[in-house]
Amino acid sequence: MPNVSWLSKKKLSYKEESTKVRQSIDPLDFLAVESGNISSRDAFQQIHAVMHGGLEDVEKAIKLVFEQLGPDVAVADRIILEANGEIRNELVRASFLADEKKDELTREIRARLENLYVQGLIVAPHQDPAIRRWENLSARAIQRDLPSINEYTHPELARPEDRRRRVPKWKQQIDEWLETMCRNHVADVIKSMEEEIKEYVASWFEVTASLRRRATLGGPLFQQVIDPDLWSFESEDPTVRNLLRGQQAQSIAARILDRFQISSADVNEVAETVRSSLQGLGVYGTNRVSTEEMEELLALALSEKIQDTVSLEAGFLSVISNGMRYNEELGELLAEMHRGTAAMEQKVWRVGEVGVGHVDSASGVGITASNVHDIVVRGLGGGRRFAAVEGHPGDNHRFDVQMSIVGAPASDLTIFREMVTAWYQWHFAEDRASCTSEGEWLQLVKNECWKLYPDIGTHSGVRNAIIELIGEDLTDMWRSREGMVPRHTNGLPSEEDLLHGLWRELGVITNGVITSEAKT
Amino acid sequence: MVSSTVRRNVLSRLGGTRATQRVASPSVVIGLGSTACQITQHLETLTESWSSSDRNSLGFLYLDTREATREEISRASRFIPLTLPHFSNLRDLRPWITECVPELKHLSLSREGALGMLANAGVAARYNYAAMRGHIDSIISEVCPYYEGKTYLRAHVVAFLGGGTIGALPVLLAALSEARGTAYNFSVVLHLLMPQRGLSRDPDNSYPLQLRNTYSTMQFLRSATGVAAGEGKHTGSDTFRITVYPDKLIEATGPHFDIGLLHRSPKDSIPAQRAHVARILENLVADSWGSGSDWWARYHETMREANNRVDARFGSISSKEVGLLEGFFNLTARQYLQTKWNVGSR
Repeated sequence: MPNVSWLSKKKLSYKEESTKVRQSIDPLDFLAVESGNISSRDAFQQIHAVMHGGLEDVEKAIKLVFEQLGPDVAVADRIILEANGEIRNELVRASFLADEKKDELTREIRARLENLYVQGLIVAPHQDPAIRRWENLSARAIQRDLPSINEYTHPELARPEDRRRRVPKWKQQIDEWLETMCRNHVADVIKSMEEEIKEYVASWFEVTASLRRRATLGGPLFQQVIDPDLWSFESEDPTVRNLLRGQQAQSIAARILDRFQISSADVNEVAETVRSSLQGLGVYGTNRVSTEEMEELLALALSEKIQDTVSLEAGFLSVISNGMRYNEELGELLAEMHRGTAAMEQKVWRVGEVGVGHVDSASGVGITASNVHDIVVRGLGGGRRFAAVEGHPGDNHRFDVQMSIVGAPASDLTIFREMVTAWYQWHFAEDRASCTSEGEWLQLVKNECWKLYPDIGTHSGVRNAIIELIGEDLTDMWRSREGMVPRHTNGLPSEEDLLHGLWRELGVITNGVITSEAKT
Repeated sequence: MVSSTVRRNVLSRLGGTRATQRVASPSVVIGLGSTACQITQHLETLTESWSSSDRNSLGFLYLDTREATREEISRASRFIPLTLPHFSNLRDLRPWITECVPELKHLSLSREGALGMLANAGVAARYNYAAMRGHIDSIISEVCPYYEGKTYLRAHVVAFLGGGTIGALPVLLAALSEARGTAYNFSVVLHLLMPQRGLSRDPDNSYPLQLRNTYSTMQFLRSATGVAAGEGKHTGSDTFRITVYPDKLIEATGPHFDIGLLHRSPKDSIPAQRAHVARILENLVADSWGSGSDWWARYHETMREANNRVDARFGSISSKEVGLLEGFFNLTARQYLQTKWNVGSR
């Protein structure tokens, strides 16, 4: 018994407590989901340690003042005069620093709890929040009045024997003051944490009940997920087409989710993404984000995780590759994907001898079943030759959409013929068709043919080079089976001769080599 | 399902936490003509949400014969009008103009709309050559500050092949060729928009004219690559000369462009065309991220394998088409949440 009474009267000491507080890398780790072995005493001491850590500088400064006041050394009057002021200053600084730490901790606690709250919604929405464990931590935190401290003047400290007697007492008073102040701040932090936890728990029960209502039969989320029509949405972007639709999309989603395992690091990351995207709006509490928006944010952040897990290059096709009709389904999907690509009509022009052309393909690499290839080619209307499906030695299923122009002949691009025809017909269209003599026609076309050339210099520039290229294209077309559409010549020479005459006039062809070639 | 606006807001917020570096090589995007300027403007708007370092690596330049385009773009200072002064003010300059257009007497000096003659924009571009060079130089030094050790960039030129403004393309290529001769090393990517019958205001009359302009421009691009054809008397050289105001002869040495991409809109509508081409451009400009990085990786791989300069000038394109599946994964995530929250399923 005497021991107990002595304990209760024992004065607080900052110095002593400094050796007892629990140092940890993360002082708030007791809030984390896996914090089973941390006792309430540990939690208290961890917060306590943060306060002590914040006051290290002040402690050193006060120690220095007392060292200067040692009874065995000569002390300048100035130091004695200023000692009291300095100590006062340091104590004010200590309060300020402790306030700062308190605010910092309070903010961090709010962030942690919000993160935990979101994690809980994903992982354990039906459980009581584990955070309730810390509801009564304030039992350890008792607030006391700050002790009074003597203020010594110069005459009281001038003589060494006075200092020997008074300085230790002063020291002890300050030590006690610091520790009391620290504990009061710890108590404030814990109180605000408990307030947060109260709000957390209250919101938790409201929100999880509402989420349950949304997710059960008849709820909006339930409807969204169950109704196959809603899995057939269209994108606003006219060039994007959703390839997975209706029940097929639902069953593939189910297969993906069967394999989807979310790690605790991922849950933490998702929760952090959601929290930071709210930009200050609370996750719990009276002024919190709406349930719909929370659901929306969670879905978006989770969908990123699911996409990361189900890599499009490496695993997507193998996820789909289940079930009885696998090959047919896959073939249909690839044919669909190819059509999606072709719809973009993005063509690559190869400049040079080959002319123009395009091939675009969607390929499922790693599919060795030959009938899949047949299904795809049939689905696309047969005649197109492209590598829609090809085997891969690693037997690794990949999804690939690509476009290339390798070796495509000019005839692939029907627009090419249309372009040449348009250029060609310009020479004989409109009023030029009414010309009665070759000279008249030549004059008329020569006057206007500058309209055809983007580079318009006669001597500089590349007009003649363009004419040479056009001459070659036309020669090829005259030779080809389809030829150019014959036009009424109106008593003039043939169109080929007219054109060659024109080019001769322009100085591009002088010896008629192209003419004779074209006629062979 | 929530409205698309909510979705976009949420996505943009989430996007902030997933800030990714998108641009590795600085790029200058040049819109030539009204259609191309609108696409470039659309791209500029799309890139507004990118990080500031990405945006600093992008420069936009607008060239058009249509003065109204200046009003439509966000930064009018980057607009170069391709218009000639009134004919009466050009009298003193007749020797210069007749040198580059001997057929001046036939040249209408008023603007002629989308189907205007190639020569009109060509002359106007020659007249405004100094402005064009100045803008290109300043924009390059802006996006690619050489004192930071950056000397490589890409120039994306967007142009509608069927319009009249495409006539200014040779002048623009000459300006780029001159700019390339400086401390910078850059590749030029041509984005050429094909005319489409359904997009033409008058398919019977104007569409053939668009095709005609397209064909001429294509032939110009072929000859500017130095391809040898026919007798080979005038072809086979990738250098061409152009006279610009006041009387300077530009020797535009090749190679003038590295890749030419032909774009067709998946739908016959202007907004679809704009969205489509801007999306592809966005992918290609973002060369360190997503399908853009994939595309450039394939392109460079092909370039390494190519054994001559002409063969090297093609690319293959690939796209993971992640966009196609975005909605699907979002619903899958909802399904995940639904099974977690639904008591009956547990």
